[in-house]
Amino acid sequence: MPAPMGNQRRQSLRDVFQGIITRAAEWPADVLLIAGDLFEHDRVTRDTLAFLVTEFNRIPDTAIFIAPGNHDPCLPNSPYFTEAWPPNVHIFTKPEWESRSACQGNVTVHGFGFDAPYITKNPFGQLWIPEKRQSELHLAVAHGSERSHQPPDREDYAPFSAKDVAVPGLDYLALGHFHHMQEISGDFDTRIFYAGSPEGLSFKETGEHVHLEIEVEEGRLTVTPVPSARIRYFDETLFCDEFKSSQEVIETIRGYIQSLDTKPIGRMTLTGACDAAIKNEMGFIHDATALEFEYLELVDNTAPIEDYDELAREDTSMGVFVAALNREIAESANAGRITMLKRARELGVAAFRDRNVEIHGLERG
Amino acid sequence: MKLSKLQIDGYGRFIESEFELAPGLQIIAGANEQGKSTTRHFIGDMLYGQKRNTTKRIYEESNELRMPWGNASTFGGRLTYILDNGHEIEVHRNFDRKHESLSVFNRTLGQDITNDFPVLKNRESTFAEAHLNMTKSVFIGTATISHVSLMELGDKEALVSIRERLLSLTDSGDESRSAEDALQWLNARSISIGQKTARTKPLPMTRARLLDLQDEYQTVLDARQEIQVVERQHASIMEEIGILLNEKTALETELAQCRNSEHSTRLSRATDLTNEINSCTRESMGIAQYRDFPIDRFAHVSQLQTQLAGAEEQLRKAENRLAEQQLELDATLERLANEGVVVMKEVNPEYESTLTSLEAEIQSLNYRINETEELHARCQTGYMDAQQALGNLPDFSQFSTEPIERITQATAEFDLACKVRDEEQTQFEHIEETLEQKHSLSEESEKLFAEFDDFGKVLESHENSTTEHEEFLADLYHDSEDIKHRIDDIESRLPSFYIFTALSVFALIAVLVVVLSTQNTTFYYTAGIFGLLFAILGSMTLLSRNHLRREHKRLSTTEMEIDRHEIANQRSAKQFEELMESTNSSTLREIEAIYDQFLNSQKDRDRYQEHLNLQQTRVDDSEAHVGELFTHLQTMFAEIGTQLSAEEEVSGAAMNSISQYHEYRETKRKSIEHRDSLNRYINELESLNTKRESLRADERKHSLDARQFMRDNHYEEESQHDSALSALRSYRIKSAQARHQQSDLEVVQGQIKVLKQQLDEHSQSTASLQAELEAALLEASSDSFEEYQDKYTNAKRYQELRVQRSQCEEQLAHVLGEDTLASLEERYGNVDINESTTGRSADAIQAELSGIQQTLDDKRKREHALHILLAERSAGMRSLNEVEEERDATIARQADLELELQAAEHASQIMQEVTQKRHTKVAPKLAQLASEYLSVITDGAYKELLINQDMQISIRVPQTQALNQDPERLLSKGTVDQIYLSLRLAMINILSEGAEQIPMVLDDPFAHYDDARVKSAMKLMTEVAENNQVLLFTCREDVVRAAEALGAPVLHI
Repeated sequence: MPAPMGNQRRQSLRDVFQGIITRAAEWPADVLLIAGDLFEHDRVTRDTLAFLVTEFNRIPDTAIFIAPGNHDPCLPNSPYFTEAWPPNVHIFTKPEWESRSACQGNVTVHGFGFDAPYITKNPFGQLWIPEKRQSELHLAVAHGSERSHQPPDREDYAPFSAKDVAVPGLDYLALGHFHHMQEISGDFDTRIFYAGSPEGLSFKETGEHVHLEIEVEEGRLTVTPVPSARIRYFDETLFCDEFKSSQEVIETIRGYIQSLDTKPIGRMTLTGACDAAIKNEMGFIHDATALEFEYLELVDNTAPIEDYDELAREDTSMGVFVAALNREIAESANAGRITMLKRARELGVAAFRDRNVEIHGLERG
Repeated sequence: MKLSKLQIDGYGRFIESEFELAPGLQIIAGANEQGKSTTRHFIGDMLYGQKRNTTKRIYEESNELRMPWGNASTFGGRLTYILDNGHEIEVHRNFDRKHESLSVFNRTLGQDITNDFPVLKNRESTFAEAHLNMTKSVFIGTATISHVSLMELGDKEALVSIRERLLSLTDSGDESRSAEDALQWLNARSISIGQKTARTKPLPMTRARLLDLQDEYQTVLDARQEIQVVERQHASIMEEIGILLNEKTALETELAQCRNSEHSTRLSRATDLTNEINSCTRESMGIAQYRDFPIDRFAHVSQLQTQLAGAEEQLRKAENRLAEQQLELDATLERLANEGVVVMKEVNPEYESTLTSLEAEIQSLNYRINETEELHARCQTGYMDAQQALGNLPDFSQFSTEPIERITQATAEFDLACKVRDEEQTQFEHIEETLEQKHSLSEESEKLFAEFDDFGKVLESHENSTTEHEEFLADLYHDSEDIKHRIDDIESRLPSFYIFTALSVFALIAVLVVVLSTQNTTFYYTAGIFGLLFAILGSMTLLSRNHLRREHKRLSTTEMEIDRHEIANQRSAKQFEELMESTNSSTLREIEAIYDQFLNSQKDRDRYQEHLNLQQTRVDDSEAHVGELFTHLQTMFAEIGTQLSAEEEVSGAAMNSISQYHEYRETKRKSIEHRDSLNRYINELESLNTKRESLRADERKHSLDARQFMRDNHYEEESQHDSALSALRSYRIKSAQARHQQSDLEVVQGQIKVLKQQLDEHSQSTASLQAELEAALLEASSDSFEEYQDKYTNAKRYQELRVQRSQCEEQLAHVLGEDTLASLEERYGNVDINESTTGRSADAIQAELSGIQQTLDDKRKREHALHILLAERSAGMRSLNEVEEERDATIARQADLELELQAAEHASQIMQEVTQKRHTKVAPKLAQLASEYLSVITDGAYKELLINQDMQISIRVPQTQALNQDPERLLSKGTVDQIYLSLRLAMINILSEGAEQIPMVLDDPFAHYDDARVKSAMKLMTEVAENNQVLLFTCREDVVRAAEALGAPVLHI
């Protein structure tokens, strides 16, 4: 994404957070649980902290519990220590369970926080609620990776199994770390939820993003996911084999987003084998559809126009040129060099064909 | 390959059509729009299909254009051809997209070979490519020749156009794009991205932007760290403020409690006062009758009473004492007679009080001076420590006003210079490596042509001399032949001469015998005639023999000349033959081409050498620049005591220096603080010392006065006292004792005298007092002083009560202030006076509160200053996220652009190498074949066509026998057409070399030829068709006629 989009994205996340606080104020919510990664420790600005404090001050009657995660650990210089947080905010600063009561003692909130980006001491599994107090309402908030939902290719943080933390008496566990909303269910009574990020943060986080509203009435606990994202990420692949002109591609892309209620941040990957005429119009297709998006990234993964093996057989300078580069590509083991050689081959053939090829890396507009 | 039959089911305007084709030259004649081009396209489509490219099933426009109007399902047909190995192949195709099919049969083997060939991504079989050994584009571009004329090529610079087309065919198989065009395209692209020397193109601008962003990133990072430090200080101050606020709140609470307690006390006091007022009022009412008693007289009366009593007592005592004194006088007189007592005046008490006061003041000043000196010593130690620490640190004051900025800028500049130098060095090595490669490539050629200063001229000279020699030899041979002919002629005629001479001799002898035998004179005439004949023939024979001898001699000379020239020729050619042998060349043109290549390589090498020299200069410059900067850095760091010996130390030195600067700044600050304190304490000490000296002077003066006084009064021991004060005290005791001893007698005498006088006075005054007292008692209507005293007591009490009441009322007013007793009771009536307090007074609490408030104000000022500092540090600075995002985007953009530039340059390099090799390889063969064709087509008028490795065409013009690269002015348009045709045919021949003979499809190539040239061209076609099948499509009758004249079959469509 271009650099200016970063500020727009950050502002959007603030707007979403403000919306959640407004909802907490209007409902009104008794307790607000924030399961970590509220900000980036290394990146947070004073302005952001001032914003958070201002927002928390808007709901003085709501008890706010924050369980810092791996992105906002309670390091000695953490804003959690240095900032003056409103009295209704409680931060679990140590990697061990701590219990606080809220709502005039009607609710007990348990939580722990990361005190480093990686914590060696894993408190999950050490939560315990005395038997005589198990009839009361117990909530917990923490940050970590539930093993059964941990993607295999991602690093885990404070890994745990849901059954270890779903101790008797615990009614609800609010978890943070995974960015999509998901419920961890199993052979236990505790409701365990990852609320996910209230708005997508990258193209990996497409779909709806929510905050969770929990109501406890007469001992019955209901969890309601409420859409919170202002911006939705959108990542689709478009097969271009049947398209005859760029207009068809443009109309198909427009059709994709008509069903959405807001302008998405989209990545549209074009694949398959499309006609050279379409391939040469990628810039035009992007510009023609970009207005429909908050931001559009058009990825051209369509097959090369040329059959370079076939071209290499031609008894022409171009054929010998392509053959030479095919040889170089086959002999090269360096991925970067292969990319360069492929591009050189594409450019050489385009030069012979006098075909326009977009220069990658030029600033658009 | 020979196309033998076309069977068209449906294609364009042809429905159910069939054409048999001859294996050699086949004329296909028809008027315009009769289907000639359609037939030509049918052949191409049958062989290669109708897909637009090889990767995707997208059809060419011909798929729709050639679709038969009636039944689309018949769109297709059969094509039969015979390969050079004799196999007959039949291709069946249906082009209808819904029923698209292809079958390939080998009729000779009776096999379906459709699946024997690989299939392209567009699902087309590659059978035609396998059989023709060329792709569709090359077949269409090369084997198919359409109209050729100067009208298309352009009237001017036709050979340039031909060259371009030739290059394009060689390079891309298409007439429109050559490698030169492609290289220009790539070069333009590289320039538009921004090559090394560019400054304003996207790549250099992106690089520059990235450098800026990296600087900005570092700045933000540094500022962030600085801000974190300030924030920590800020947080610490805030914490302290919090503590102070808590303390302040506690004190305010305590003060309020204290105030409440005071108010309660006030209420209590007011109540007490009110009660006391009431009590006074009640009591005063009871003694109100004494309110008019003259109290002011009581003192007088009482005094009178006392004086009277006193006078009476004095009178009595004086009488007693008089008696006692009388006795004492006697005793004293006796004692003093034995003692000599010195008179000592009584010391003035001011001396002692003044000296005591001065001593106290001096003592106080001493304490203050000691205290100040202690502080001064402490500050001095601190200052010395700071100075010592500063002495151990570099002096940054002379270094720069902004040392960090200077160090950072200098090191950043140095880093940048190092980076530039490394890049330049890398570039230099790259060029050097390339140059070495060029050297190694051209080494062999260099050896070959080393002995020639200018091989071109040598070759030209050799060729000229060879031509001259050949011409001269030809002349010599011609002369030799003429001589031989003449010798033969003479030799053939000489026997006749001998015979006729012999016959004439025999005839003469016979006639003479007859004359002599007959003596007939008439025979004398005959004998004379024969004699004459004999003489003539004899002369002729002799002449011929002489002539023959001369001719033989000339022949011998000519043959010797020929031998000489041939030896010279062989000698001249020997070195070139050796060259040809060593370069595997068969002609001088090839050597010339190699030499041209060598020259180009030399130029290329020279260019690289220049580039290398230039790069060396740049490397030297950048190295020098780095050196200068390093020297500058050494000087700069030397200023602050850091010695740099290697470039690697720069970064560490910079970090160390910045760290030292921070330490220096802090130490300097402390030093200044200590210095200021020192100055303050010195000033204070001076002031105190001055004051103390002044006091000491006063003390000395007073001491001197006192001591003088004591000496004047015979007190010699004063010198034994260190202090005048102690001497005075001692003097006072001593003088008192002395006076006491001396005055005993005088006193006793005087007392006796006085006592006597007093006795008289007391007697008088007692009487007077008695009278006055009685008058006063009478005035107060009192009979006795006791009654008078009772009345006075009541009156006094009344007055006291009034005063007391008045005072109470005043106090009450003071206690109540603006309040009333009722309001106080209302507000503080319920306050517990014993509420827990620290016992401190409100003022003490207020004083402490003021102190805390002062500290708090100081802290807040500091906090505000830090806040401002934070705001200043953050002002105008983007967030780390923003900078990082733009930096990452710029890095990605630079990587893309670098890749684009690298790819374009690499493509350009490979293309240059490939095309040069290919042109060098193709050019001589193309020239040779084209020369042959041209010779045929021009009836030998033009025999030699030369093409160098740049595919530049030159032709030996018969009029001048010189090679001409600009022959337009000398060649007719038709000749240029013929040159082009020759080259195209030669190109096909080259493509067929060692492979299948490609059928040529010519679409009216002679559209603009005149009759003569058409005939020549047809003659050429007939020759070409002996190897390659030629399908010649034409609408011209003269072409048909010319073909028919040569026996070529004509197919009319």
